[in-house]
Amino acid sequence: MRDLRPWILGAGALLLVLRLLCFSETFAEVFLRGYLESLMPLLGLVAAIGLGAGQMARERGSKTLDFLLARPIAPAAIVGIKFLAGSVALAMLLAAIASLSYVGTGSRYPDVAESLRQVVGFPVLFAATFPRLWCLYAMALLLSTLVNRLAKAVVSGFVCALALGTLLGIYAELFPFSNVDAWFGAQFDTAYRLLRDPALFFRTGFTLCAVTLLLALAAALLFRRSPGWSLSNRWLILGAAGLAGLAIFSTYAAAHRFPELRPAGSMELRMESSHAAGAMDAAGSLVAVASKDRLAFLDFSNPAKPREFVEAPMPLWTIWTTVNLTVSGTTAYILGTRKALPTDEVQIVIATLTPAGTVQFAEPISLGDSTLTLVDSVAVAGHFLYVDVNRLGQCQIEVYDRSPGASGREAATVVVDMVRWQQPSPGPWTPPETMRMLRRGQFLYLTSAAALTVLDIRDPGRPVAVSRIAYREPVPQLYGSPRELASDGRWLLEAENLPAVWALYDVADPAHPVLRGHVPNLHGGIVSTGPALFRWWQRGVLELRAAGGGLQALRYLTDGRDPQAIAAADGTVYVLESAEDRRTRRQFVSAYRVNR
Amino acid sequence: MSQPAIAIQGLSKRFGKRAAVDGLSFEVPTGGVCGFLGRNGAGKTTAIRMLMNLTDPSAGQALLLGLDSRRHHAELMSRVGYVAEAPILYDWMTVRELVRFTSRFYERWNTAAVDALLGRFGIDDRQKVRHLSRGTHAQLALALALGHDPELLILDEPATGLDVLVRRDFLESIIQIIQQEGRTVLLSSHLVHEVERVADQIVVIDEGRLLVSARLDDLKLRTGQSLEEIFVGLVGRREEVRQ
Amino acid sequence: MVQLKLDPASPIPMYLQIVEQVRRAIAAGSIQADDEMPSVRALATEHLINPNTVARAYLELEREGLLTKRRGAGTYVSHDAEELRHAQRVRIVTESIDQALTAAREFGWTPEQIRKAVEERLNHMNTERKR
Repeated sequence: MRDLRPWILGAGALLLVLRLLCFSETFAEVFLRGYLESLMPLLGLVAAIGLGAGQMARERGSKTLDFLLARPIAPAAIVGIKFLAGSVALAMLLAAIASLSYVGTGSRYPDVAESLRQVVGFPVLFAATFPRLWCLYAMALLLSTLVNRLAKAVVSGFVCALALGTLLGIYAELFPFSNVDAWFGAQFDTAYRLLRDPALFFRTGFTLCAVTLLLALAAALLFRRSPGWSLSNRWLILGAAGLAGLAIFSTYAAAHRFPELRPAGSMELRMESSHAAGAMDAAGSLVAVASKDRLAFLDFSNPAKPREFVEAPMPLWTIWTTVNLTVSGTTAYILGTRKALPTDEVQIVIATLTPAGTVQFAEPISLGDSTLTLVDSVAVAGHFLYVDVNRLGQCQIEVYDRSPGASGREAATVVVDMVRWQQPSPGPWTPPETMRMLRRGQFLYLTSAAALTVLDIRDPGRPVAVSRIAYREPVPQLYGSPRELASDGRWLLEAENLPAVWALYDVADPAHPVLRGHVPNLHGGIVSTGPALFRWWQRGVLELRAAGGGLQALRYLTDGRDPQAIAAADGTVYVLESAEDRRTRRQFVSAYRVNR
Repeated sequence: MSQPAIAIQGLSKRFGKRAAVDGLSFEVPTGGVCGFLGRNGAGKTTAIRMLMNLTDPSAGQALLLGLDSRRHHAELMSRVGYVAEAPILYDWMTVRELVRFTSRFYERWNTAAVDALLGRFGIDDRQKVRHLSRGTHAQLALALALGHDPELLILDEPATGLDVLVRRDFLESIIQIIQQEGRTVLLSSHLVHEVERVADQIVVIDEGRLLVSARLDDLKLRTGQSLEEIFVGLVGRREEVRQ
Repeated sequence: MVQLKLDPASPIPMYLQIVEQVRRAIAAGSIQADDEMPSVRALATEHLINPNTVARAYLELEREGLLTKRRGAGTYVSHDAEELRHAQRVRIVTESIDQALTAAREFGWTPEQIRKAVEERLNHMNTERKR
């Protein structure tokens, strides 16, 4: 143990210095922000590998190992004792490093990170992080037994860690819904996730500890067999090259892991707009695309030869900004804001494609003042429009009857939630509308600040709330952050904010979703058509299927361009893509036939 | 007394293509001093390290006190004392700490004897090991090797490059050990004259191979030469053959 | 007490050197019957040599009858040393004579020349002694 003193003293000194510095509030703020994100896991990594690599290789290099080997102690026992001593030192180091995260807690206006820290708590953080670092430490110790110089051990330790990290990252990409980061992450998010899921916590914890002990045993046995043996430089270099090669190969393999589907047809979008198109929706083979102030209808009835029906500007005499759009039948409902005095107005512009191939604009629906009326999206069922709106804290669904002969005004309102803002007010990153809506068959699913509400719209003019599942954000700052929804008919996915997972609900009975489990949500942005779910992934769209309490990736829809928006209708997935071609941005709409 | 203290058979160690030790076989009977001679780089240290299980042999077997050095490592180490060439000790410890640290490994530890030795060598036990002179360092290594009263003492060039007094200390210790029943000493050195004083048996190796293993008295009677002459004759002759 | 001068670097094995020097000491009378010999340990320590060497020398001397080991008391010059002294002396002189004769033979001297030389040297020694 004695020779570990430098580590402990050094760590103690470092922490003391940092603690003192943290008395300055500015330093504390800046430091902690960076620390929590990246420095803490890095420090942990350095501690684990440095400790492990040093133990055997340093003694070998300085030849004091011979001293121990000349004593009546089994070589395996030497490794065993060093392992124990090192583990204790690692635990102390980790405790110190973790405790530093709790310096300066208790500020009056905690932000998300701060609240997260308070929720997770020191013991959980320690218990979550220790098995992972312990495993790394054992790996470094094993390497240390194989090598005869401290420098070589440290370098190979870090190379291995890097390669491992790369491979894990690739694995996470290959199997995007595996729980890789729960197994190997060493940060607050991971800790929080494990806190929420005790089964996962224990599973990962025990397995990692078991692996650690196995590694230590391997080190002891290896050393026992041949205390004087060490890997020659030739083998080390070969090993490093092999690892690097493996990492590179996996990246390549990862890129082509999924069977790829090429588009059935693709066309370039030429809109006379200085702004890029951002919103898209489809119904049948009709695709509507809107940029900030223009609208285009595209015909994909023959996917191999798509063409543009018509393109038109928004028929308004002031500045218009499109937020999103929904298509039903041959009509597009474009939600946006219109510049007006004294404040901007939120409106729904209704554009219908005539058989003649022109655009006919109906009277827009005005929803209200944009500062007081916060609208998420529009859902259409037959002649009825459903709009989820947050008016002064009141989350509600407003129904507009567009049947011929109806007044066109608001037909009904159902309040689903009240948003209560607590001090402090929401941060700039919290979208104020707070709601997300999804229509599936005869039901509307709605997420608001405090609940998931299911509305039955069998009687379209009168939605009825049939069930309500309340939830609470663990961290006050996230109250009011919207939760995305997606469904494939059998499962409903609700995106939680912290940790970043999808909650998987069984909607065999669509009126009463039943929570079945959680699936990691790495990037967000998911749509569904038919039985499948589609999600952006790298340079294309992944086709996913919910099965067995998890998500399974089936195919990869790509033609090499960056996706910007996805829409799905009738067994075809439409992707709005952009490509940079010598400094000019070009946009395309591609159609992928995904019908089985 | 029936089994030899050291029995080596076909011991070899290859580093790549080069054989540092090549098919070495000899025995050292219990109760004597064996002088292990060879030029620099002849393979003495490698052979000794293999005896001590600090290096694995490429081939062959080494038996110490009748036990295989690889399989009975821990048991052997409690009965064997070893002083390496330029021994490395934990230099951040004080002498007292190091003695205490070492003593904990052994069941039998003769504290009085070690203290007596340290006194005789004039070593202040509050000093840090790294502050000791080279000679004192070597004496300390010897004291530590003797603390557990070993049956077999293996010395690898223990006093090379040290002053006469230190060398005398080593010789005295060797003699003291030999006086006890059943004790054996393997002394590897290239100070031929000192080996000549105390050796019962002589083993000479060159380029990893055994040249001779015989009793010193017999060798002298047979050749009528001093040990130095014998040694030069053996090793020098190989040079001629090589040329 | 016997003063040994041992040369480890000599081609003569050390134990033989001890044996020879003890014989001479007895022959010269510098050690007498019943004198105690230094212990093996003491001799080894004094001359910094292997105790086995000393033990072997003592063993050889015991076999020749010059030393006896008394249980629990050590090694002593034997009683018979007195008589053996004579034998030793004869042996030493005879050895010297043999050496001289060998040399003379090598030079090709006749027995007559040898006898003449011996008488001459004897006379010379006697006159020296008278002075």
